[in-house]
Amino acid sequence: MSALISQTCLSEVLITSPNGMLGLPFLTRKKGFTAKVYATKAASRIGQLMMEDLVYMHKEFRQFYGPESDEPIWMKWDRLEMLPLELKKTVFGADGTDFGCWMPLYSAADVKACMLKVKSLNYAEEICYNGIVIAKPLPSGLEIGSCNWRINGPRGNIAYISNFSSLNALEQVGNDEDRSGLANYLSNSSSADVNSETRSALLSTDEYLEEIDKLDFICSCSMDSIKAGGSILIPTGRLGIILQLLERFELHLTSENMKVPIFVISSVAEELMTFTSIIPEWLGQQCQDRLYSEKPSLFTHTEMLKDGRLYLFPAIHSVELLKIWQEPCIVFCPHWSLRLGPVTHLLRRWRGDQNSLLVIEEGVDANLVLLPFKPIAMKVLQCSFLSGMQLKKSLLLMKILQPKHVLFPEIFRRCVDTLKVSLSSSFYQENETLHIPHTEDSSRLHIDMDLARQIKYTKFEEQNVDISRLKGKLTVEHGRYKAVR
Amino acid sequence: MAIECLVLGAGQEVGKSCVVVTINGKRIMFDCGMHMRYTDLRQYPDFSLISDSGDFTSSLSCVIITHFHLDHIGALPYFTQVLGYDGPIYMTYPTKALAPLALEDYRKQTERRGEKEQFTAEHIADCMKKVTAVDLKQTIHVDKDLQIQAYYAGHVLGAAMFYAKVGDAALVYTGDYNMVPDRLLGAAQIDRLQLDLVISESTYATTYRDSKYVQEREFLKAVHKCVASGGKVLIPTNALGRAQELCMLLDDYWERTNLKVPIYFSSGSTIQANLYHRILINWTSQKVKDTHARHNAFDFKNVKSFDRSLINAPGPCVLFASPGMLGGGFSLEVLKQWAPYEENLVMLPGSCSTGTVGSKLMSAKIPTQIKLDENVKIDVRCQIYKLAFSAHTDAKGIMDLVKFLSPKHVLLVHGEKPKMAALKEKIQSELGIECCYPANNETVTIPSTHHIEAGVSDAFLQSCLAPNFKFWKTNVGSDERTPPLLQVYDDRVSQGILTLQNPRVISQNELRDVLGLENHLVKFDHCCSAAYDSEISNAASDWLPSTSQRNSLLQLLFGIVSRDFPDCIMHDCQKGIQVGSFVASMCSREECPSGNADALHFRCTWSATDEELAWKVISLVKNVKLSSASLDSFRVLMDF
Repeated sequence: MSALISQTCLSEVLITSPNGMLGLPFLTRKKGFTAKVYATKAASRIGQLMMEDLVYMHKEFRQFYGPESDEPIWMKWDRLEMLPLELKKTVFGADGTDFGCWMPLYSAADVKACMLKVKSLNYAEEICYNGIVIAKPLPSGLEIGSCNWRINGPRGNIAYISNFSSLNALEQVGNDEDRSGLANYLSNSSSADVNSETRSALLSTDEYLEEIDKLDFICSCSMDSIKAGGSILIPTGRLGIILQLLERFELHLTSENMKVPIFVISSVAEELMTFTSIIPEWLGQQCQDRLYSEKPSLFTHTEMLKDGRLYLFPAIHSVELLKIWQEPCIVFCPHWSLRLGPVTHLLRRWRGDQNSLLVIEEGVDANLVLLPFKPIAMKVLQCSFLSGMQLKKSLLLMKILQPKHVLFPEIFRRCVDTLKVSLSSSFYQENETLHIPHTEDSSRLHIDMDLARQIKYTKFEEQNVDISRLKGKLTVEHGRYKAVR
Repeated sequence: MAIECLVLGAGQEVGKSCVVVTINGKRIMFDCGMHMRYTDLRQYPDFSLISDSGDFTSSLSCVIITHFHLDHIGALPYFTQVLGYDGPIYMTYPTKALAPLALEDYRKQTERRGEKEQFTAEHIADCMKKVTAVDLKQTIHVDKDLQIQAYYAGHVLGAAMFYAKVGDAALVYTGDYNMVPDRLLGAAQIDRLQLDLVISESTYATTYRDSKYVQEREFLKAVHKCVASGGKVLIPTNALGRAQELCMLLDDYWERTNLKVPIYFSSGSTIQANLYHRILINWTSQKVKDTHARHNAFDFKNVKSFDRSLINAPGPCVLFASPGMLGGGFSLEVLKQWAPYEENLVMLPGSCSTGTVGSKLMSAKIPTQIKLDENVKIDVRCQIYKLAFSAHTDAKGIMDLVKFLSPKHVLLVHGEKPKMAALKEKIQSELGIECCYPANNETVTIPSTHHIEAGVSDAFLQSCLAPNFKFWKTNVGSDERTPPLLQVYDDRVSQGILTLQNPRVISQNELRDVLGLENHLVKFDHCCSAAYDSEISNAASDWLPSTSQRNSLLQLLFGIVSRDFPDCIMHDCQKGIQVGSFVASMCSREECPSGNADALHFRCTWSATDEELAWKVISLVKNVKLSSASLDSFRVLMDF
């Protein structure tokens, strides 16, 4: 990260999702950081709350285990340098980037200062850098506020695609217009000749239905556990998943006619839920339709909060929480690592109960995260949630966009190679800079009519060329070079 | 090419706002309003002027609605469901949420009055399904060429100004807007845009208004006084906008002063509208937004729902009842009961259309009698208070906006003719911007911006974008003690060559390559005789200066020239001196191009660009008076 700032002059940072900005304070607190940071309004608000929550949990952790001095001893550079070569290799990793660049967590003040540097945007709101580069976030459909970026410059256009979900109950999704928006600018070839089969494949609802199936499976497992007298613990920070699960739980509980309290315990639970009840512009069609209905409310959780089916608490030791606490219950709380936050206490309480259920996300090493809690009698359900685009889908998208060049992550190399896709592509990996040639030969200039009228051509017979002197003022405005009188 | 504006409504009047703009082949309808004064088809814009065939879908690119007031959206269900327009319709999220309430409220009123309804509840619902909701500043590509964008207008919740662009031609249609923030809403906000046309409302074309806070305070004082003395306050308002704004004021005031008098909402749709306001709180003023996490300003703490039995219940209260102009319905019913008592108070809205009970009350002297129909009269002894609130910008606001946007033309709508004429004069004389205010069904044509496109070479861009600073020192005043003022000019004049075939702009240096020509350099050559005194010329007609003499001559020349031209340099091996491209050296008789036979000449050469400079230096050279003494002294010096 330090290399990023010192070597190149970083001028803009574009954020695609709330999760994608959790490391931002590390960057913004560096001396000499002057870049502008852009994120969607929803992403920056949710991201800010997630960071504040992280800082809060860290503070709590230190209250338990005592504060480290400024930096833990093992983070001290001079000590590390003194280690024997072999040990050093282990610590720093083969390429010197492993533990060597661990940093102490940012503070609340860092988060605050960081947020002052973030300029937040609506979907499809354009920003103009230096008059000539225009960037615009388009909904990607993965999470509330998540986006893909379209960047237009005079010498080529770039689309940064983090995800492309075309159907989602919750989130504002990338729609046809956005796609053509991406397509028009990414390539010059017309996308009209792409057959409708490809289009419908991209728009297929399979992915979404699969996701709903998964959520329903979690719900029905939970119902079984609750019937047996156990409680449900869901440590996740992903707001989208919490909201979707709340909706599904409400359905399941109502249909089974069960009354089980649901708790969301986090220092920012209240803020998150208040925020989600006032953002129709950022939600999917299904939620938006609820706004236009007789009883306007975006999520079921507003109702659930009102009639005491859902409770929000800032911490596990809240007096109010202890008063109304009852088991079995369903608890959403951070943190997915099972090392921080309310989850640690609840896990200790329930680990011996074979009827209780723990839901964790795929992608974490279950053995490792559960190690301190062993032996564990609790049921554990590991579940993968949609967190990006599948390769199959991204290739379909490329077929429609027809870009001149594609960058895939290194892990896709084998798949892309074996699929024999006719795409000019390269593969990126961490700490590596790639150079991509210009896609346009030259920039375009708009000559104002007033100026153009003055043009008088002189003919060069020999070369068969007409030329004229052009004298005026050159302006750079909103991505265009303009010559005016 | 031009922009064509067909004003279908709100031309030299207020009501049924509707302007159809044709811009580079795209046709956009801004607003589709209804005139509240009429109940027959005159209440709608004359849509037949858009298309003879009645095929509106193919003759319009899109319809844009700025806000939910009926004079801006009232005709939309009729246009889409009865006349069959089926193309895209755009409005902001709040407008899409609140418009059905406003339309339904109106439909119910006409139903109650027993008039023939122009559209049904189903029409409204079906019409709203066709609407695409947009967010502020979101760039929307209606089709390949037409792009629109909404900006905050601050008139009511969700009110927006719209920017539309086709190619290089662009315009802004303001709808109704407010340039100062109030308790509920922020001020209008827009980017500095390149515009050919601004279509602006002009409700208060000549009025300058006081701050709204004063008016708000007076309103609260009047209400407080009434309830403190046990009276009942009737506030006739329509369900939307004004009701929430006033209620927010009251609720806040009740909290601060710890009043316990009940506030009632009579209509269900007002309560519904409150729910929408709560969700759409992001569209309100900064202050309301900032505090929403602690307390949503639309969670009214002191508001209760009303029951008919409460009309004659003892004790003070405040009641919001619709309709706003007391044209019938519940507010009139309550008025009948409350008007005869002098402790009660009726808050009349800012303007009431003629013929309604509201307008009669407005002009009445209390106590009076008001005739409702042949048989019914009301004794009015209660107090009347006229609300002076307005969510429209005043004349200063309009001027500010026009000045900020600096379009090439301004078109005024939504105002009164004489006042619009005055504002037009002001815009033309003070801002120097063309302005017009067509009547209904008139078309105005305005020229629009165009361009031709060409490729451009990097070298040309580089040469234009590289700064070309010039510094001047100017003395301020005659006092020499004040240091001279340093002025910096960035004097960038872009000059290049445009080729017609495969249009492309290149820098002058690249032209040679394009034409495949050799470089020819124009150089001027001038032999300038140095004046010398007779002593030298007498010495010999064939006197030849020695090398050292030549050197000292040049040295002397350098001394003189460099005094006036600090960037003058002496060449190596002392062949000459140089300023820019100007070079002066000793002329040798053999090589002299002008065939001068005289002894002492300076040969001056320069290229065309330095013409002016060259003659300045030459005039200096001519003034050099060489004497043998000076030559000798130099020689001595040199020899030494």
